[in-house]
Amino acid sequence: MSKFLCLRFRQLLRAYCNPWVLSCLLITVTVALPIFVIFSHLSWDGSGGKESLSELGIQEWEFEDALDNTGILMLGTGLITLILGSSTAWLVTFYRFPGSKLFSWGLVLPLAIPPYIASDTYWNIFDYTGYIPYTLAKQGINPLYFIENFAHDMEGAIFIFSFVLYPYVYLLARASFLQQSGSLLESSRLLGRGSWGTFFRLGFPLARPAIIGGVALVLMEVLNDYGAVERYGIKTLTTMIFKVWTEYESYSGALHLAAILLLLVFFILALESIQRWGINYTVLTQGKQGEKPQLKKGKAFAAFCCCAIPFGFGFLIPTGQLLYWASQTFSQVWDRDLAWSIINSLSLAFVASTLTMILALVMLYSLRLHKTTLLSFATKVATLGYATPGAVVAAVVILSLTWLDQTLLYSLFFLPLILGYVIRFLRLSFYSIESSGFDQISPSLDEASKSLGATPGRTLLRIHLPLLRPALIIAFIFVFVEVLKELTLTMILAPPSSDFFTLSTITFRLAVTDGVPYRAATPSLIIILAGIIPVFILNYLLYRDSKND
Amino acid sequence: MTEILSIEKLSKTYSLSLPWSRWVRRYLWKDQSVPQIRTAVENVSFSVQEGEIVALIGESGSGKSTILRLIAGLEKPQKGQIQIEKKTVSTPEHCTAPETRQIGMVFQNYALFPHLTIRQNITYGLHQQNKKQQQARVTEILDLLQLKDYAHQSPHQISGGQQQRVALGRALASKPQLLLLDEPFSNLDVMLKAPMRQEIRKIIQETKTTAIIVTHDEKDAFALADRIIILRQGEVQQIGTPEEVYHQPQNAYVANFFGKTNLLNETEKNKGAKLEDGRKAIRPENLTLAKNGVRGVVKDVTFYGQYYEVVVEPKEGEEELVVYTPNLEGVEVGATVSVTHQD
Repeated sequence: MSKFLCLRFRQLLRAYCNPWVLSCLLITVTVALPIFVIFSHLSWDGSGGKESLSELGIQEWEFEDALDNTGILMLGTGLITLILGSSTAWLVTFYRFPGSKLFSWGLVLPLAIPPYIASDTYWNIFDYTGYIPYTLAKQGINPLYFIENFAHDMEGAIFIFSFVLYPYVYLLARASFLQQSGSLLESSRLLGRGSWGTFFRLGFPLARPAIIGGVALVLMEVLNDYGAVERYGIKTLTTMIFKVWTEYESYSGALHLAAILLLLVFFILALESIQRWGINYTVLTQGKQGEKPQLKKGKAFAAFCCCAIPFGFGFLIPTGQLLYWASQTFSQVWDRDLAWSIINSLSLAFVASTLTMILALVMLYSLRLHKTTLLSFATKVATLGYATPGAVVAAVVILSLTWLDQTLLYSLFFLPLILGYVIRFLRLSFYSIESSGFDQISPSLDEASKSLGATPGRTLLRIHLPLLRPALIIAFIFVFVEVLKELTLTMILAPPSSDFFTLSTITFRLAVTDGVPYRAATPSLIIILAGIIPVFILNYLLYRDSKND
Repeated sequence: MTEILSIEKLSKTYSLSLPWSRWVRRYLWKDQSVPQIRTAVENVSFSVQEGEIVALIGESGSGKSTILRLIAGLEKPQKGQIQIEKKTVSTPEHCTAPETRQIGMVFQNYALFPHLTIRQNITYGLHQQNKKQQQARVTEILDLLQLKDYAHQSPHQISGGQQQRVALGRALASKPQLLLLDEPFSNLDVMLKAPMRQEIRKIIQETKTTAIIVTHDEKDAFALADRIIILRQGEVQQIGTPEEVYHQPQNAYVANFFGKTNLLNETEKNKGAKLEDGRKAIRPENLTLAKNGVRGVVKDVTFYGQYYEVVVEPKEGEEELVVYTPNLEGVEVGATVSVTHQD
């Protein structure tokens, strides 16, 4: 028996004691383990955490209010994005109407606008001096009622989130619709189902996993957001973490709240994966759709409106307003702060995306060399960070750094921020390199290289790296832009000097803290312009296989 | 003759990765009907002599490709061992890495490196030699394969037959002790297959390489191999020369694998190869329609170009006989004929 154990131990040792496996496990431990440590700060009986909250002077009803608000925001945004995303995707994929080609990529553009920028813009559009209240006042209607009850309230926030986040649903729904065989839908039409019937009986059910997956992404963005809800004065879990952390300077309180937030995220992830259970059919991809039916007159107009409204509210109006403001203030906003914020943002983004890319590459290559259960589990865990809201990631970073050394957090300057970005965006890099890189390289190339006497390192250098170059560039750009946009994490983890700004934090300070949205327009536009690049890449990647477009 | 490869009692099973629902059924509900493992290779032993070409043949899932991957070191066995030139390379406890085995492999999809030119592809395995030696060897290989004019093109710019020759040349460049070919002809057009078989046999023989070919097409095996190993569900059915496996099959599976066979009960008048189960196998082309012999009624006649297939029903309770005959000489459905064995 002991001999057997000894043998088994040596086998395990041989299997796991090689640089690739070890580095992969090391990355997992550093990147993901803190996320789980946070749960130790959740007091299950509800006493410890709440006690510390009430000691801080936060009432129970405040906490319950925050939970309620978070729930209403998620419910409202989830429902509206579900409807907006799937209906526009259906129209654009299966019908022709004026502007349908333009909308097919234009509808993705709101993705380039972070919610906090859109909320600043709409806040000021709907403010007392804005166009709509101005018109209302001119008609003799008191605009105060409208502003306070709709535009600057929960309704306003749900409106913002819905119109800038629906592209997540749209993108995934459209990719799924495009995969549905044209002949499948044609046969449904021939069997006597109208276009509505076909959508509800066939198109939607087949695309449901993708659509719900999109909604889950939207909900995580809602949970991640700090800027927009702060602007609209809505108390959510995220703003509460902020408050506890910055105003009361309470570690344990913030960590307790972060753990609750993380539980919520895991709940969404669980629901999302449960809805995929039992789906074991593969949608046929053969049989391209023939000519798309051309919509006429009333129907064409309705379809046009259906797509124009989300595109307009989600992209045209905020961008137009920002362009107008920027053109008015462009000459005045260029100062030392803005210049430094651009330099800071670019260098942070460069370092973070390079590091993330390298880590993702190492993990993926170890997984390719040793496809064991342990490693695939490790990579899944390591990439959980993307589902984790920025505030939680920040709490995790603070927790792990202060655990190592109390003074470490403040002495490392950039490092906590970089670590936070890596935790949060590793998944993005990982997934890009996997799906448009390693998955496209036949495993027989590895085997051929091996049989020709090449070591794993040489194979990576000579075979994989040259073939992976496009995927690596895509991964780099994706993370780069996300870092430029990221606000929550950056605000908490930025070096604690009063004149350290990045593009996103200077935008937020100018628009919300200083209350001069006009001056925030220029950095906002820079972020949006940068954000448009990955949108186009995404569009290209998702639809390059469909020739009928 | 020295023994290049020796395989002893090799077994390989795969543990199936179960989807969620089946995992629950297997491990929580203890449902024994959900399979956990799949046996790919079961107790296989054979050896290969220097300069020999051996074909592994079987249906898909018979484990033939797995044996090849085990020899190359791309998989680990659960039982048994593999020796290359008397050195043990694979046991369940220890496997030497594929890159140290000096084995050349030609993959089914050729696995040419798409970002390298033909020349770079062939040079890839020669990294331990100096530049001069590399140059000389690559030129030699390009000459042998008649690929000189394509040396600086990319794999996607040349035809399927040429890609296959590059794959072969790449594998041969470092003068491997053993060459493995995995379904080398399955991606080629039917018209290209016959000339490629000839060409590859010529190249392998000229370079005096020992080779193992995996295929599901008996024509590949007959045309190329000195010996054929027939596999079924991971187990060896028979090992022998092409003539042996065709004319003296050991069991009904082998007999039927290489084309239609009449399996007759053992009686004195029935000639043909004796199977393990006592029956006798007679190939349809070894039977003729004649005046004397077993009498029966013609049930069906089908024209196949080179021959007619005539199905004869002798008497009630006896097996149908299939006869291939080049000309019918007036035989039609319903006629009474006699069938006899050619000597």
